[in-house]
Amino acid sequence: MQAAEVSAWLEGTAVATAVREGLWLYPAVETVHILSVATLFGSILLLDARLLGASPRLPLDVLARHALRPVYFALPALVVTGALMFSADASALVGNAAFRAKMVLVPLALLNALALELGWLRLLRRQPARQIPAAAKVFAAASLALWIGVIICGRLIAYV
Amino acid sequence: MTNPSMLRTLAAAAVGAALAWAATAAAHHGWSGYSEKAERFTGVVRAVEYGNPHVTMELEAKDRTWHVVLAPPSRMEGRGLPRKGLSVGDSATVEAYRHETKEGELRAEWIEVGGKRTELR
Repeated sequence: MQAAEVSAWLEGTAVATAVREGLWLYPAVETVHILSVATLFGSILLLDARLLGASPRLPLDVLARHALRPVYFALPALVVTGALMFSADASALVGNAAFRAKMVLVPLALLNALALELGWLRLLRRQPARQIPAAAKVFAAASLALWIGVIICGRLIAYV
Repeated sequence: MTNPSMLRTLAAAAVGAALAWAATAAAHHGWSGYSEKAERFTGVVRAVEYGNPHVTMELEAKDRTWHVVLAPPSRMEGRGLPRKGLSVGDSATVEAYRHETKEGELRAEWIEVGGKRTELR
């Protein structure tokens, strides 16, 4: 199945049509998308900063639980709102360089987060007084870079 | 001799001047990715896509068909040009800027149809 055929089919669905033709549905969906990315990025920023050495007196296990809870809501919200906006304009978006770059960076950022969780956060939660390993810091820095890249690409969709 | 209220006034004046400058700059130039030279195109509407993120139309003018980017549906409606106000076969004029790399694409500053002008910025 060609990308063009799938895009056209998607754009023709009732949901996509409603999002595209409604006056305020698209901007409302977009606003939720932006609120969700602000929530996700702000939370991850605080955790990554702690992993990189900021506020060493802040217990990592307490901070991680506090910071990640909003992310568990923000991520599904991002996927759903993103899918809705994508469906409304799929043909144009599949060819958009910024959108394609974003669709590469998002999975990378998620994989990086998974690696951080499985590799170090589990360990550090059990031993919160332990020094944060250098390798964990590399992944924390990568996390920041990747999510910043996602946000930049998202904003540039309208400009390329 | 600087005091807090004088600094506040100075800061307010600076912000005001910056905003005024930005507003005039926006009024006389195009959009990012489009030429800064405004041109007028008058012709016949051959197609309309009245949807998000932007309403677009195909306009036959100057011996060719242009893909014209207008504004989001909420803005078009709010400014007096609803879906039923822009139809295939209508005569329309736009003041628009050519896309810098996409051949045949325009972004419109305003559109005149049915004797009424609608500002799009």
